[in-house]
Amino acid sequence: MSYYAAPIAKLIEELSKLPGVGNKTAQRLAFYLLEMPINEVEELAGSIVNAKRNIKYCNVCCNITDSETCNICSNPKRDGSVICIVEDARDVVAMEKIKEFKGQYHVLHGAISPMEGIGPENIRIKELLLRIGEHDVQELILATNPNIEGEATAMYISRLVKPLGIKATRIAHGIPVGGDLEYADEVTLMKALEGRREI
Amino acid sequence: MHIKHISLKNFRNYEHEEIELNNGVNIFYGQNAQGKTNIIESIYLLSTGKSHRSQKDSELIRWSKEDSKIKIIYEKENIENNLEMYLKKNQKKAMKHNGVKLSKTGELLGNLITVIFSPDHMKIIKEGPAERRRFVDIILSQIKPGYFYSLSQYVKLVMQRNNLLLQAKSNAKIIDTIEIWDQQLIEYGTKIIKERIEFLKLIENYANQIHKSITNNKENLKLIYKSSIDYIDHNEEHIKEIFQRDLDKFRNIDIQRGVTHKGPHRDDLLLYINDMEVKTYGSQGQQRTTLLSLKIAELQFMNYETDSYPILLLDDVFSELDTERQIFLMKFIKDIQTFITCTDVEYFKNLNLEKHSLFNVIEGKIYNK
Repeated sequence: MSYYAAPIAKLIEELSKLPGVGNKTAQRLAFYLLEMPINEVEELAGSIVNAKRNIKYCNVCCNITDSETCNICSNPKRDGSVICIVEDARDVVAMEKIKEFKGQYHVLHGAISPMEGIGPENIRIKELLLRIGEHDVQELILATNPNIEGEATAMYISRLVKPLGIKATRIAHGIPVGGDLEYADEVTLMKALEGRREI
Repeated sequence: MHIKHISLKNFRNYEHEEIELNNGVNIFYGQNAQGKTNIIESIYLLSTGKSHRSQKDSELIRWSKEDSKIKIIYEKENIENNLEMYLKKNQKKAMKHNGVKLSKTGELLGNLITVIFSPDHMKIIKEGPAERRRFVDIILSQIKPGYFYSLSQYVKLVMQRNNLLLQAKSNAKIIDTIEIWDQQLIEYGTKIIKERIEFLKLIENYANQIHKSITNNKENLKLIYKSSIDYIDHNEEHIKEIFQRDLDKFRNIDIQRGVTHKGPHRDDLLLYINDMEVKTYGSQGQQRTTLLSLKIAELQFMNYETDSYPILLLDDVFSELDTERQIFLMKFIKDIQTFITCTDVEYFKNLNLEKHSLFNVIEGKIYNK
């Protein structure tokens, strides 16, 4: 049974489907929206529909974009022979912030996870293989997340491309730069110790 | 290491209790169902993140209340520390160490180190391999963050792999991806096996010495790690190689049954007295003595690894031991802060304990005697 009028109950229900939004937050957001001027509400609703309708996947790297080919893939200064493979569009943004990487990306939109019913055919691996077939790719940098699913996905891709003579590298795990060693958690520190190098 | 103060709010049958503790032996006595074990439980909870008897956190909150708070002030290497746990119905528990929020159970482990001994632990001797693996895993997880991490990764990997096996029944092609799980399974699984073997070597030595002195050198206690992997020596590369071979060998059976048959989650720890397996052939007395030896060895191992004795929690076991073993145990714990729960306090009076406090527990209230 709902204590709210039907339109408000419906709004709360829809909002609580969003990630990180529980029932209480959904109620707060709903009442905030009701207080907003109608033109602002229309603008918000319009921008949600607009984003959903006009966003597509780049025909090269599968990143989210509003044109056929995203502005990284269409930039002639980017080196197409080195591809950094990430799980999520947000990871591209994180990598771009370092302003050092001059290669291109490939966004998988997920990682292999049998528990969630996600196999290799459910993420953008087929597109990656097509891309490798069409372009001269030298190196794949596997930047999937450092958990078991990300690791499995990285391993799967590296096994696929090894016979093609393409170099596959995995990003390093370790302690954050600029922080003190004592503040790193034990597991991160252990991983860093395992991956130590001679200097 | 010792606990100085425990504060309980709406925890189990306690409304609000502030308890000052003794560095030596703390005896909580009273009739059944008064709340003695709840004290032990609160300490164990802040030590491991889990209750030793209940699966659901919501059961820990006092009846008809919404939330519960536990705070323990303890001294470690002469420095005062505190741990807090906040439980709220239908929410994840929150933990703090010296006021700093802890995001994972892994961060809680290793602060307040405990060894617990309750009648339930006879399961280690009498029941299936899962109980003995748990015994080893809890000890190693408390003092080795790396072990706890490997173990939690390993558990997830087994779940992923088993899911894949189930799917492979209807979709044969998908089995091609099993190698990406096997490789990680072998990596973490081998680490777990290596750590367990090393641990057993150390604890066997302690346990056997204790066992011999309890039995006047009549009995020899042996601990053997029985792995589901058929390795012949403990070389890491060798274990990995055989692990891979065994996984391959069992792949069809794994697919048929939808479970993983090989790996440390199927291993066991065998206990022998004079070359006779305790589980099957030991008498009731031998089984109890074996458990006592193991538990004291656990204390010594913790002391060896962390350079200080952990806190000992004896839940309702003291009365189960005969006088000889009681005296042996009391001799041993004289430098260790110990929490004892019991119904009858008479025999402690005869033991002439030096440092001790008596607490009478009556219906969720504690009276310091």
